[in-house]
Amino acid sequence: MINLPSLKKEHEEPNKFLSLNINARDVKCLSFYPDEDVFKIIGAWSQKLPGGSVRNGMIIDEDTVVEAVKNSVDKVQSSESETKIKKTIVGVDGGITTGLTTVIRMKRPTADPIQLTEVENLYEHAAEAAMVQARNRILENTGDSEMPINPITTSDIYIKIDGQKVALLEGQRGQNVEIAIFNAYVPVFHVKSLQKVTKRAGLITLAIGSQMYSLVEFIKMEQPETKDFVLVNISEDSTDVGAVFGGGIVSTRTLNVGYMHFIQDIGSKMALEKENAESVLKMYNSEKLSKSELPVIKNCLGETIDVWMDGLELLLEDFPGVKTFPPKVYLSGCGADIKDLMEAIKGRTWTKTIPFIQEPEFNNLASIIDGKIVNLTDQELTSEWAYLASTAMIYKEITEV
Amino acid sequence: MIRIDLQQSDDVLTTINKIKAVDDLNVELVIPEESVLFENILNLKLIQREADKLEKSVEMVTDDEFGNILLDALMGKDIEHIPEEPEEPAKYTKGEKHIKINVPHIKVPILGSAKKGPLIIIFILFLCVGGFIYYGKTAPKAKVTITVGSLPFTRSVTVKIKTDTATDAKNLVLRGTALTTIVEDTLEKETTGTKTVGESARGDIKIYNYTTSEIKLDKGKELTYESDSKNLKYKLKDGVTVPPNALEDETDPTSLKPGEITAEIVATDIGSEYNIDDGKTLKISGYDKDELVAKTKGKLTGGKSEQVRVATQEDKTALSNELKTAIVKKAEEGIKNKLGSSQKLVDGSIQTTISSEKFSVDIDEEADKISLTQTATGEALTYMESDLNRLIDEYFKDIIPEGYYMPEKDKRISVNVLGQSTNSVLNSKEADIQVTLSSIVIPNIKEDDIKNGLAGKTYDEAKRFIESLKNVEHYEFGVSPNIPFFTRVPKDIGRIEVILNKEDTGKNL
Repeated sequence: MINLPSLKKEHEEPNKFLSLNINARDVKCLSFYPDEDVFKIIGAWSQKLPGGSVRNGMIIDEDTVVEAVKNSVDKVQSSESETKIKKTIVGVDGGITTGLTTVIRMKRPTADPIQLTEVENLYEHAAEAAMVQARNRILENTGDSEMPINPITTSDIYIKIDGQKVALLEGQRGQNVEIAIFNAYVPVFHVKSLQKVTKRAGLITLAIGSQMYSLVEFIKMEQPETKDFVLVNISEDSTDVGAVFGGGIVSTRTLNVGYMHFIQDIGSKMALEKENAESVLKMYNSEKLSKSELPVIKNCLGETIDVWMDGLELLLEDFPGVKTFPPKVYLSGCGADIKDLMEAIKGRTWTKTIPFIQEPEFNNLASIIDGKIVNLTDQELTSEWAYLASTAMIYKEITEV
Repeated sequence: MIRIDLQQSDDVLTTINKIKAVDDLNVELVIPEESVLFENILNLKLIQREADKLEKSVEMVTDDEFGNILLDALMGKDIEHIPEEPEEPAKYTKGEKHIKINVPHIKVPILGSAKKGPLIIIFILFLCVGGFIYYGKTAPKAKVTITVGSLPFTRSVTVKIKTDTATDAKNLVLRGTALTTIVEDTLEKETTGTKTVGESARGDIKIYNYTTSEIKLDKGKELTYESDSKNLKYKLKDGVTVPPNALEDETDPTSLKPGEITAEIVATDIGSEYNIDDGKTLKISGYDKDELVAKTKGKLTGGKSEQVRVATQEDKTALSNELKTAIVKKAEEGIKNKLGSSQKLVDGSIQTTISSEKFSVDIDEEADKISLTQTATGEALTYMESDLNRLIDEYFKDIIPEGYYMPEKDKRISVNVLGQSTNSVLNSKEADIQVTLSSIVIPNIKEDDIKNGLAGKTYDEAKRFIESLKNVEHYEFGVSPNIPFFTRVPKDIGRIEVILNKEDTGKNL
């Protein structure tokens, strides 16, 4: 049988969208159907990547990544529909992203209503200040102050006039104006690289956004009473931490140790291939291994857990812009499913070295996913999908504007 | 020290595993340019911390430009930031355009309408009551300021730090580590000794034998030229036999001529004064002038002398002493640079030994300068601050009364090295230190317990609750604003503020 090329025009699915995450382990893709204020996940696929294709969020092997994106996008399309979902939100995380909140204060000589030009000037000033702050943060982390960066997410945390919170500046009366804005930056080369990949995969990029931001927005939506918390996302090759106060991310930081390091350690100590090591870990987490095997895996994980916790402690010790941490800590990402890691993190006395207001309480984020993002697929979406699922919040924001 | 050459792709975990895998306690970590480790300074900090935990000293080196900035920052050097604007209000720029102001769209009911009038009044009343209830439920905030008595706590103990020993809190023994460094330094100085050097004059002479017998002169036979100032000594370069005198004409007895031979002589000392002219008479040792005499045949030449500088034993001793002082200092700095972030050096424990000395010239060797290269091995005793903190916590844990605790932030631990004496030891393997713990202990009252205990209580119940807490010196409690019918403490613990103050009671444990 000869396969003839289809002459049928490929139609675009107008109401649905995709979210995409490209990380060191795989390309994850979700397809969404927005149903009023609920986002229904109608397709989910994770396409494994060969080692070295992506590192710390950066695309190293573009061709391989493009193929993986095409494949995962195909898998999440509905087989019954003639139309294809092309609109895509790309979620970015890892050490390549720098997130911070900038506070700008302005004293007006008059209490007359604030005019549009004033607002524009204030935001322009805030953008410049945030850019300098971000450059300094990158300089502190990498020693490089010249790297060109682009803001990918910008969001107001609060706006205050004479100490009172308001929704909008324009038209308000008052003299003392204060705005706090969250910005997430990534290097320009990374934005271009992502745009190239999505274009080559035949997708339309709606936005490239910070997953840390979207996850925080998601938590706020699911648990509106929770305003102060710490978010720890243990992703594939890194751990991203965000400190949230009053519902806004004050700052983010990354530790370059993640889930794959645990897999590597098991692999090297037990002489197993990466895939086999991962499957052993999954069986260990779900307590499906024999009694004789349990201590072996426990031992393999122990050393990496110790290093990871030391790294997390270091990260929190000099966290920019934070004097004391709120006691509520949410854990997400594939690493959050490692049983021993959760036990170890809960077992440590954090207040001895880190200024938590009180001994922190750790919660796995998977347990709070319910409500505004609904999984309609047959696949169980564990903690590792929470980050990507939350990018629906970015879609919500851009379509509301 | 062992050197580990990392690969560009070696990440933080791989690097830590490589450090763990080597037995050496001192590691030189060579990080290649564009290493993935330089993507985040936390990688370097984590390597340092894990090395400290392993009690290994890691020295990181790289040729990477940005990497060196990070390594400098790791050593405490400030990074030159891009100037940020000081925290001051942004400049006010008055708007140029007249723009429309957005105000909420509110429909105002027409009060004149007879049918709608009562409904509107009920509606307004309903709004007022609703607003009042809402205000009463959400506005009041409780604030309680509790002052608890704090007891000063100061204890001092002598702790022995020893290498190759496990920490033992009961016997106040702290595990120590000997940190070693090898340093090399060179110093050069001008020489102070002098000596005369030069060439001996040499040339030919004619020896005249006036005797009837031949005379055999050995090599080295001494000849003397008596000048006005001094006698100049020469010696024969080779042995010669001078023939006896003979008649030139056997028939003429007056034609007697001395036997003669030409020989080469060399001055016995250096100097230009030995360059004597042609025809000068030299006396041959052991012979009278009328028996055997010599005369220069042409001018003697080549004699010269000059003063030069040479190295002396004093030069060597002075150089060695001076360099030793410098290298000891360098070894101390080397030890301090190798210290991990939580590793502490026992002051005065550094012992430096000179392992080799190499001088550039020997004694009496001609040279304007002499240099010395010394190699020294420095060894010092160190301990982990965290180990000491744990030991102190463990040792004093039973002294803190039940219901009290010692806040971490108030804890101060000071260390004094006792030095070498009849009662204490101080060297690179062992040291006695005086450790003083100064802190306070306060009642173990937790803010959240108080908030939960107060939530929803009446004013009197709340006061009773606070008064039931142990070790409270005094307190202030209030709910504001005061709204009739809403005098209870809010159920929402977010609206309860608890301030815990510590007050020195003047008592002691």
